[in-house]
Amino acid sequence: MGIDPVFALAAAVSVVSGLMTVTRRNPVYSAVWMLACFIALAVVYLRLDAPFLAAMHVLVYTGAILVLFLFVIMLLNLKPEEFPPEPSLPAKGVCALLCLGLFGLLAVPMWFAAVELQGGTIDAKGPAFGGVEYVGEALFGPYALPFELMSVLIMVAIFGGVVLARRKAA
Amino acid sequence: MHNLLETVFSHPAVRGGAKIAFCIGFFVLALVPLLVILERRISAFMQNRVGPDRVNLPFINRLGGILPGGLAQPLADAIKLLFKEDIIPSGADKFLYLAGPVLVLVPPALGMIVIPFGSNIGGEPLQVAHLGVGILFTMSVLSVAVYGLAFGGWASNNKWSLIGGMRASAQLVSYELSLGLSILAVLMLSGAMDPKGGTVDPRELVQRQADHGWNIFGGGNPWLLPAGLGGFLLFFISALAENNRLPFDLPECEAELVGGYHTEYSSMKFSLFMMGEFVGMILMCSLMVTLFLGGWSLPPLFGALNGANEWLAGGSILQGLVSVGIFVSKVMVLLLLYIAIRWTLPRFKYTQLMDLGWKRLLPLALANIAYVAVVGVAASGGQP
Amino acid sequence: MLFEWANVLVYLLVSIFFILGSLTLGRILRPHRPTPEKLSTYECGEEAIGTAWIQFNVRFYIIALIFLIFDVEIAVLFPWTTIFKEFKLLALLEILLFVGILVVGFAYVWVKGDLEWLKSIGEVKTGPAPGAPERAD
Repeated sequence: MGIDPVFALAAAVSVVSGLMTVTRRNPVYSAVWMLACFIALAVVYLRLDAPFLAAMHVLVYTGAILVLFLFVIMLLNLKPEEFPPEPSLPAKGVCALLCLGLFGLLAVPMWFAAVELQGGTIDAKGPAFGGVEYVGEALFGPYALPFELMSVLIMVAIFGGVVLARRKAA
Repeated sequence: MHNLLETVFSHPAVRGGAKIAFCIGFFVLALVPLLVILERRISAFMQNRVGPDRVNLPFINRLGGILPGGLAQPLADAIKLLFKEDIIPSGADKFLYLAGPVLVLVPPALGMIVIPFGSNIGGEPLQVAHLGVGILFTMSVLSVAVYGLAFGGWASNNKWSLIGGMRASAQLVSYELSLGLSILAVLMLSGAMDPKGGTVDPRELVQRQADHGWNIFGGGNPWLLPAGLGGFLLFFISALAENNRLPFDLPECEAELVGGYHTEYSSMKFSLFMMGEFVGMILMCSLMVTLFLGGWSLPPLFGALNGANEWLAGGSILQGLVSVGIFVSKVMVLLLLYIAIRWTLPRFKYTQLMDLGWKRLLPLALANIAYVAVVGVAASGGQP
Repeated sequence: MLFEWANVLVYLLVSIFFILGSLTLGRILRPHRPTPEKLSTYECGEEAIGTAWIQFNVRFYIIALIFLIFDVEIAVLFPWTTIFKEFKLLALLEILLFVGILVVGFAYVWVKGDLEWLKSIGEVKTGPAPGAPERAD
């Protein structure tokens, strides 16, 4: 079985726009590329038969998280002459290696798990897998406790964010 | 001839294409100019003016006085805007300046995709795409519209635009919460009545309303009547704010911000902003009709009109067209209400806007959800 | 299902084609005679001072933050609407606990006065309103 063309295209777009996000000097353009990256990722989820995850990804990540980023960027509104100096080449290299290492930490175990489970590929689970009903049954059945803990995490995030914002405003 | 048509339309791609053509051609390209002239004529009527009444439709004019004058005014405006010089301020960010109006227009147009605008013709449901995520699709594409306003306001490099863009995006996200929560409440409300439970599929939502009763009246359950009516009011108010319509048009209030985020826009790009606003209105009204007002169906009236609804779902071309007509008339009534509100209410202050959104509508929407949840679970028999 | 998404794609392409088509048509038809005055920023007829890309108020950040949190809540409530018939009382308790915890956070923000849009101006003009929280600035 070859590689699915839609998946390949969406994955390529997400990687390229991710790279553009971290290399742009103007933070507003970083946000624009991040928007493209998020939408490409949503298409990837769609191809993996997870339409609910795709919709939530657009709703929460592009609709809320990136808006928050954009507000922060516009809050600071750095002028080009205020941008921090371009990091030196060795510093960039070290950072790139660190990121690759992190990627490896995530990807290698996942690949081995995939080999063990299914002989090297992770297939989409079929249309019912990522539907709203399935997610609901999982979220409120076996995973009810982590789900409730998540609300505590979010509440702590409210406290933290507001306290930090107030200190900045003061 | 009839056979040929049948053969052509038996292909799913042709049927899909026809539905796409209708959706774009009618809801975007035809309804928007109609709304523009309606808005101008109604505002003139309400303010005791004449309004634009000179430009008539080509060839048919006023059909001997049947049609009101000025119906072709939007067409003339469009041609004029096409010939206008496009002035891009020298300090603007060129790419985002273009991206702004495009991102304002595309999301609401795309959101129309999952709306069932009629019953069916020959078994083919009148809905462009029947997606598993249903209403969620509309909600998620709508959440992208915020970027059009933010980018448009930022890229103009104009203080009025930036303030307008920031106001608009903050307002949009504030009211998106009560909008989303009232959508949730109506999904639960329709799930409480049906043995199959909740659904996010708009076609199924409309079918249930045709069978049991419109969701605005509690979907057939008298206990849920306050939730239906209250949810509809919450949705309507939030929708006004989402569309930046009066009394919530702070982002573009001409007295303090000139034009808000589209101050620096001219020519076709300005018209894209205008179109985006009107398509947003059409989408919001279509959502209201689909979620609360029974879509293409007539109110069942405790079963009295169930026969009529079955007839509408019959599947012949006539039955399909009548159902589309019912859907469109409901949308038009809501749109006229929008216009009447615009010329009736004064504008809020920004503090009042934020207070209303966060301190009134959001708690009310949460209470509405809690009420529907308790009633819904009680109605389905308590113990698991 | 795939065919339905193909419809979405075609719809998107057609609408983008219409937008770009009308922009291109306008580009061909319209005049293009820029002058420095015409291209200057519009601001009350006076010459604009400085760029518009100024620093913005922190209140927008707080609004976006609280919005993000409730957006997540809406996101998890959607699957809940499809299963609450099945789980009944258990589902009700689960979601009431979840929303209840978030409402505590919301109440905190409200009580602390971060939902007030006008707080600093109000203090300058009239002093703190009765019951208003103390602030360091």
